[in-house]
Amino acid sequence: MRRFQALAAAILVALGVGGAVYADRELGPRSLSAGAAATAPSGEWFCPHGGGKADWEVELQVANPGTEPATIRILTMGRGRAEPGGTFTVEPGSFLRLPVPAVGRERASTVEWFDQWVAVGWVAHAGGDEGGLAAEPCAATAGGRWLLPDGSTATDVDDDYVVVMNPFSRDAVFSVTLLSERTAPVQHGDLTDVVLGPHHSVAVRLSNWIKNERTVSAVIEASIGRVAAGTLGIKPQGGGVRSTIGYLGDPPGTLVFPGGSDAGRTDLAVMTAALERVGLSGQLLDEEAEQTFGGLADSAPPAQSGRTYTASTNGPTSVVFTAEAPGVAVARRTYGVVSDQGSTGGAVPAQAWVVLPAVMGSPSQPGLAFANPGTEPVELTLSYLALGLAPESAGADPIMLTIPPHRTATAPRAFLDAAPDGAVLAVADAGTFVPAAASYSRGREGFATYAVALGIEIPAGWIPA
Amino acid sequence: MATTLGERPAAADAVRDPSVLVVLVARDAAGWLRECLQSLASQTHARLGVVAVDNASTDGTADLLVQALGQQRIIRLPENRGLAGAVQAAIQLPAAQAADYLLILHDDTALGPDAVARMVEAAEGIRGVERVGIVGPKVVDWENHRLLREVGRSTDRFGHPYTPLQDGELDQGQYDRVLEVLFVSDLAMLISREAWQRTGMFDERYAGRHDDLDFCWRARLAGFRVLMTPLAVARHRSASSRGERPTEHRHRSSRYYAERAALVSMLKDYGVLTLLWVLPVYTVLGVARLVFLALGRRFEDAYDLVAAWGWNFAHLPGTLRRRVRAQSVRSVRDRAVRRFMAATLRVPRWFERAEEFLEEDFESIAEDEPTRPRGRRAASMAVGHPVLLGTTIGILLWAVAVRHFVGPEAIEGGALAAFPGSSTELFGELLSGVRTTILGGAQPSSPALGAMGAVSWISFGNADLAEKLMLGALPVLAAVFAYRSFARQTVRPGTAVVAAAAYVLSGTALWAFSEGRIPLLVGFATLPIVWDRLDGAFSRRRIERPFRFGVGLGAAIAIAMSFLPGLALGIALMIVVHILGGRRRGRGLGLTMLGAATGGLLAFPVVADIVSDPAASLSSFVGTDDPWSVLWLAPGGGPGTWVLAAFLPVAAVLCFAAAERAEFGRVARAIAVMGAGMALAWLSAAGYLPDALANPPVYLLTAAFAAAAAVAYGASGLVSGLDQQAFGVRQFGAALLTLVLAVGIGAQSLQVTLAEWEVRPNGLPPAWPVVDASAPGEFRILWIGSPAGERFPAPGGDPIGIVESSGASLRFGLTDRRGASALDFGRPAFGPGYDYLRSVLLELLAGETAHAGTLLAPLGVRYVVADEGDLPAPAAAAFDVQADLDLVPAGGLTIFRNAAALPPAFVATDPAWTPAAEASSLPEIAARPIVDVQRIPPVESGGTSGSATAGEVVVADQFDPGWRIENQGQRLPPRPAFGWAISSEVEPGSISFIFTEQWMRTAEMALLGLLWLAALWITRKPVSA
Repeated sequence: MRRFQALAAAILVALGVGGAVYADRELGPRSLSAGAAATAPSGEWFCPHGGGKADWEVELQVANPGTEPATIRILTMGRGRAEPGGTFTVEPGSFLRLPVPAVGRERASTVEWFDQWVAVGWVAHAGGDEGGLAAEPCAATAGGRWLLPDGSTATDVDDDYVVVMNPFSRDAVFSVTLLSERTAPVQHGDLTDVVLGPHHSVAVRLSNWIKNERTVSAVIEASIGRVAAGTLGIKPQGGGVRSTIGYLGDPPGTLVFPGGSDAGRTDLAVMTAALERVGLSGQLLDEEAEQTFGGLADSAPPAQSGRTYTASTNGPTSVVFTAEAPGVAVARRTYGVVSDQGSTGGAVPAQAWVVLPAVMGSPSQPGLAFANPGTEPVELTLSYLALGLAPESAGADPIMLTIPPHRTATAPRAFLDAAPDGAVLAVADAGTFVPAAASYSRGREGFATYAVALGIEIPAGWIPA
Repeated sequence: MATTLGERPAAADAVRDPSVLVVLVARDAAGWLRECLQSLASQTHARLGVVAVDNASTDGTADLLVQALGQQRIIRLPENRGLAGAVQAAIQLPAAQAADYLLILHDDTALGPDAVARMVEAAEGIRGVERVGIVGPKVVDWENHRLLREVGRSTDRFGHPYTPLQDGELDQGQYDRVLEVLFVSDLAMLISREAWQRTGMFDERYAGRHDDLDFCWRARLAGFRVLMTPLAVARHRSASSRGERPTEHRHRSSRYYAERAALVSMLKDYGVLTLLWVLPVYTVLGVARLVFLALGRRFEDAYDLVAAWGWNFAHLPGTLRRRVRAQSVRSVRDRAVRRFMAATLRVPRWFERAEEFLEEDFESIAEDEPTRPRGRRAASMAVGHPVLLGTTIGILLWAVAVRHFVGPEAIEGGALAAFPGSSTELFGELLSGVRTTILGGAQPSSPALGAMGAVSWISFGNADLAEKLMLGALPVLAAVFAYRSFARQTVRPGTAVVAAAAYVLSGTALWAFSEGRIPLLVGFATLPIVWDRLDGAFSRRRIERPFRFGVGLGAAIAIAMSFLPGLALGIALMIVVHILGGRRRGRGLGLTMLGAATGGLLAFPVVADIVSDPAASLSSFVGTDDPWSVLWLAPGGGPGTWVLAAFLPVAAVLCFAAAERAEFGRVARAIAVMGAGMALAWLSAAGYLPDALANPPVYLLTAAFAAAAAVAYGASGLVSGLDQQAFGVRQFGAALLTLVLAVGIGAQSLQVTLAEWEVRPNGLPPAWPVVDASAPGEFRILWIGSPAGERFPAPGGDPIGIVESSGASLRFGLTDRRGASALDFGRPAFGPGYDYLRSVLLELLAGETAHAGTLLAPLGVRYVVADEGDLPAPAAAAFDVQADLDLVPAGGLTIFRNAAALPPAFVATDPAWTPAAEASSLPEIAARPIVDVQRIPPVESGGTSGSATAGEVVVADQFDPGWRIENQGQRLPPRPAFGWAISSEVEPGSISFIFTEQWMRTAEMALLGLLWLAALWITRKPVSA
C-alpha cells in the first residue's frame, strides 16, 4: 500500500509539474475568437482649413465612394463659440460641397460621419488681395504630436500660419517649436503650454517669430488633449495661398508627392524633427523618365531644422522622397504657371483613393496626376463621384488608365472635362499608386488660380467592389 | 439526634457563644438527607438549634425529618414554595427571631463538624472585620472532597453570576483564606439577625435561583460584609443538577433564570446614577447577545433571553416596590459593592467559551501527547495544548494582519466593494422589486444582503466599520470552521490546528484577504462546513438526525452561493469527488440531494439568476493563467502569493504518500479535489472552459481547502503512535512534512506580519479624485483593461465580462460613481443593457467607430477608466481615435471622459430626441442628435421628479414591463429606449416612477424569510444546560 501511495504521489507530482510546463510552454491561453463585423461605423475628419477676411470662402468637400448613404454632421470653430454646420446625407457615389464660415485665420471644421465612410477635404478661395486657391484633405485623426513642414517667411509678404484646432470637449494644452534653416529652434514662452479651449482653434503667425527663412516648420506637441493642425500659406498680391495638413506623428520613411501641370519648379520643405542628422534622397518621376532629385543627393540636414530643396521639373512630375530615419516630414510646394501656389503633403502608395477636386468656380481646368513608384504598371479605373448627383446620372463613364512603373500619369482631358468639379474615385486592379489633384480654376484678374490636393486613401473594408 | 436551643444542657451554654438556628430546607431528599442531618448532629458549635422546612416532599423526607427532629421542629408546607418561601416560614418562629444567626442549609449539603463554629468565628472573631452579615463555607463535591464547588461568588457589572473556579478545579489550598466576596451560595449561608432583619429575607420571586445574589447584594448595600471562610467546609451533592431529585416540570433554561435574576437584581440594587449607565450598556450588550445567539442558531436560548426581559417588564411594579425597600437601608455607595464584582475582562472564561465552541458536537478528542520529560516542558505544553497555542498565535497574527483596520479611516482598495451607508439601504435593496445598482432591471437581490444588513445594523450603520468587521472576522471564522471540520473528522486537535492554519495562510486566502474579497472569504468560511457535511454523509459515521444534517448542508451551500454563486462550482466538484470516491454512496447521495435542494430553495433568487444566465452568474474573469502560480494556489499577486505558498500542495502530496490505511480514502478524495481544482482553475483562466464553468478563484479556493484537508487527514494518521516505533520511513516522512509545514506556515506568517494589503486606508489610486471629484449627479464608469485575469484598479472591482475581437480583447466592468457596490454581492450583471454594452465594445474594438462615447452615453457612462498600461495596444489605439472620448490627465490611471455623456436619468425636451430614443440599432444611436437634456434623480420606485417642459423621459435602467411613469395624473406604460432602457413621452409637471410588480418581490422575500426561519429552526443548536 505504502509503495503504491509513494508511486502515486510521485506520479501526481510529475503530472502537476509536467502539466504546468506543458501549459506554460506549449498550450498557453486560448487564442482570441474572431471579432464581430462592425455595425455602426463612424468617424470624424478634422479640417484646419484656416480663413481670412470677409471675402474668403471655404467649402468642405465630402465624397461618398460607398454603396450606403452616409450621415455627416459639421461643426466649425474658431476663437468664439463653435457653430454647428448642420447634418446632411451624402448619397452613395456622390459628393457634396458645403460652405462653412471662413472669417479668421484660425477657422477650422470637423465633419463627423456615420454609417458609411466618406472622404473629406476642403477648398479655400482667398478673396481680396490675397487671391488664390488652396485645397487639401482633412485629417482622419487627431493626436498629440504634429509635424508641419510647410511654412515660409522668406519675404516680407509671406504671411504663413499654423492653424491648430481642438475639436474635443476638453481643454487641450500644446506647445509649438519652430524649426528653420538658419535660426535655432524657437520655443518661446508664448508658444509653450498654450491652452486651447474645447471646440476652439487658433492660428500662429510664423513671421512673428522667425523672419526671412524659406522654410519655417513647426512641431506641435499637445501635453493635454488632442489637436489637429495644418499650415496656411498666404502670399498677397499675386502670390496666392496654399494649405497643407500636417503629419500626425512621424511620417513614413518614403513619401510620394504626385505633381501635375505646374510651373516647373518644386520646393521640398523638409523638416528634421529628429535629434540627429538624417540622410535624405529623392527621385523625380515624370511621364517619360525617372531621375534623381539632385538637390537631395548626399543631403543630411541638421537635427531640429527646416530646409528647402528645389528641383526643376518638366511636365507632370512626382517626387519620391526617402529619409533614412524617422522624424523627417516633407511638404511639396509647387506654383501655378501664371500665379498662385500650391502645396501638399506626401503619402504612401495604396490601392484605392478618392481625389477631391482642387477647383472652385469657373472657369475650371481640373488636373489629376498619378504617381506609380512601383516596378510594375498599375491599371486604374477612374470614375466620377458627381457633385450632388447619383452615379448613374454622372457625366462621365468610368475609364481605365495605366501608369507605367516609375512614372507619373495624368487623367485624360476628356474624362476631366466631363465633370470638372467632381470628385474622382480611383481604384487600381493591381498595384498601388498615389494620386493628387492639381488644377486651375476661377482666377483673379483673369489669371486662373492654382491648387494641389493629395488624394485620400480609402481604408481597407471601404473600397468599392 | 438533633438539638434545639432549649434542650442544651445549661452548663454547656457559654455566655458569649452566639446562638445559631439552622433552617434546613428539604424537598424529596430521602436519599441523602440522613447524611445532612448527621453532619448537623456532629457540629461542635455549642448553641445550635435546627428547624426544618419540608417543601411538600412526596418521598418520605418529612417522616425522616420527624424521626430526626421531632414533629414540633418541622414546618410542613402544603406546596413547594422554594427556598425563599421556606425561609420565610421559618423566620416566623420565635426561635428564629431570637437566634443570633440563622444558617440556611440545603438538604443536599453536609457540613464539616466544625463548620458552624468556624462560620460564627468568621462572623464575629476576625479582628478588624466588623459588621459581618453573611458567611458561607468552602463547598466541595459530595463524593470527591478535593473538587471545589464554591468559594464565594461574584457577578459582572450586569448581575451575571461568576465563579472564580474553573471546571474541575481541585482544592490545593489556593483559596484557603477568608475571602470577602459579593455573595455566597444559599446552600449553606450563615446570616446574622441584624442583617436579615434590616434587609429582609430572600425575594420569593427568584424561585430559588440566584436569590442568594440579590440577598447578599442587599446586605452589602446595608453595610454588611459577606465572607467565605475556608475553615468551614461543606459538601454539596447537587442533587437537582444530578437529576436525583424529582423535579417539577421545568419551563425554562438556566439562562432564563440567570438573566431574569441579573436584571431584577440590577433594578433593585443599583443606585439611580449607576443605573443610568448600566442599563443602556446592558441593553446594547443584550441585543448583541441576542443577535449572537440568533446567528448561532440558539433560538431557544435567544427566546429565553427575551422571555427574561419580558418577565422583568411584567414584574416591574413589584421590583420597584422591593427596590424602595432595598434602597431604604442603603448605607454604602454602589462603588463599594462593585469592588467585589468581577472584572469585565475575564480571559479564562473566554477561553472556556472558545473551547466549548471549538469542540462543540465533537466525539472524543484524542490526546495528542501523553507526557513529556520536564526538560521539554515548553514543547510538551505546545503539543499538549495545540488549540490554546494555535489560538494564541492566531490571535496575535490576526491582530498584526488587521493592524491597518484600527482607527477611524475607511479601508479602501483592492476589490473591496463599497458598503452602503446604512443597513436600511441593504434591507431596502433586498426587498426592492427593482435593482438600484448599475443598469437596474427587475433582478432580485441575493439573500446575502440580509446577512450584511444585520452586520451593518450591528455596526450602527457605519459602512466602514461593517467592512472592517466582515473582512476581519471572516478569516477567523474560516480558521475556526476548518479546525472544527478537521478535528471532528480526525479527532486530533493538533493536526487540525496545523491544517486550519495552513488553510487560512494559503496563497488563495491571503490573496482574497489582501484584495478585500468578502464573498470569497465567505466561501473560505463555508467550504469547511460543506466538506464536513459531505464527509459525514459519505462516511460510515452515524448521523443522528439525517434531515437536520441535510438541511444544514443546504444552509451552508445557500450561504456560500448567496455571496458568491460561483462557489456552486467548487461545491459541485467536492460532491462529484465524494460520489465517485465516498463510501456510503446511497446515503451520501440522498443527503447531498437534500442539501442541494435545500440550498437551492434558500438561495432561490440566486438560483433564478443562474438559470437565467449561468455564465454571468457563475463565472469569474479574475485569476492568473500562469500555471506555476496555480500550482502554489495563488490566483493573483499580493502578499503570500509567492513560491513558498506551494507548501500547502506539497504537504498535501506528502500526506497522500504517507497516509495510513484508515485515512487513505479521505486523503485520496481531498487530493483528487485539489488536483482537479488546480487544473480547472488554469483551464478557466486560460479560456478553455465555457464561461459558465470558468471561475479560477473558486477552483483555487476549493483546491486550497482540499489540500488542507489532505494535510489534516494524512498528518493525523502519520503522527499517531509515531514515538512508539523505531525510526524509519514513517518518521522520515513525518519530519519532512513537519519541515514543509513549518517553513510554509512560518513564511506565510511572516508575509502576514510584513504585508501591505491592497485593502487599507487610502487604498485608492492617487488619480481616483479625477473621477470622484467630478460634477455632482449620478453617472456610471466603464472599467476596461486587458483580459489578464486581474481586477480593475480600485474601486472598480472585478470584470463582468470579456469582449473578444480578432485584433484585441478587453475585460470590462460597469459601476456607478462610487465603484463596485456590496449591494451586488451574489447578483450577476446581465440583461439587454449589458448586451448593448458588449456590442458597443465590440464595435469599438472592431476599429470602425469614432463615436464610442456617443454609443456609451445611453448607459450613463461619463468615464472610461483603465489601469495605466493595462490597455492592449490595439484597444488603446481604438480609444485614441474616438472623437468623443477625451483623455484626462491622471497619473496611474488612464481616464477617458465621455464628451457625449448623458445622465442615467433625464428628460430630453428636444423633439428630435424621441426618434433617437426609439432607436435600437447602433448606427442610429451613434448618429443621434446632440441636444441638451434635463437631468433627473436616479429612478427608484415611488421616486418623483419634475420636468419643466414636455419631452422624452429616458432612464438608463433595463426595461421591465412592470414600470409605470405617472405624469399629469396618468400612468404611462414605458417603452424600451435604445432597445433596452426605459422611456416615455411626458408633459410638463411631476413625473413619478412606480414599479407595479413590487408585490411579487415582497411575496418572494417573505417566502424566502420563512424558508430561512424554517431552516434555522430545523438546524438550531440544542438549548444550553
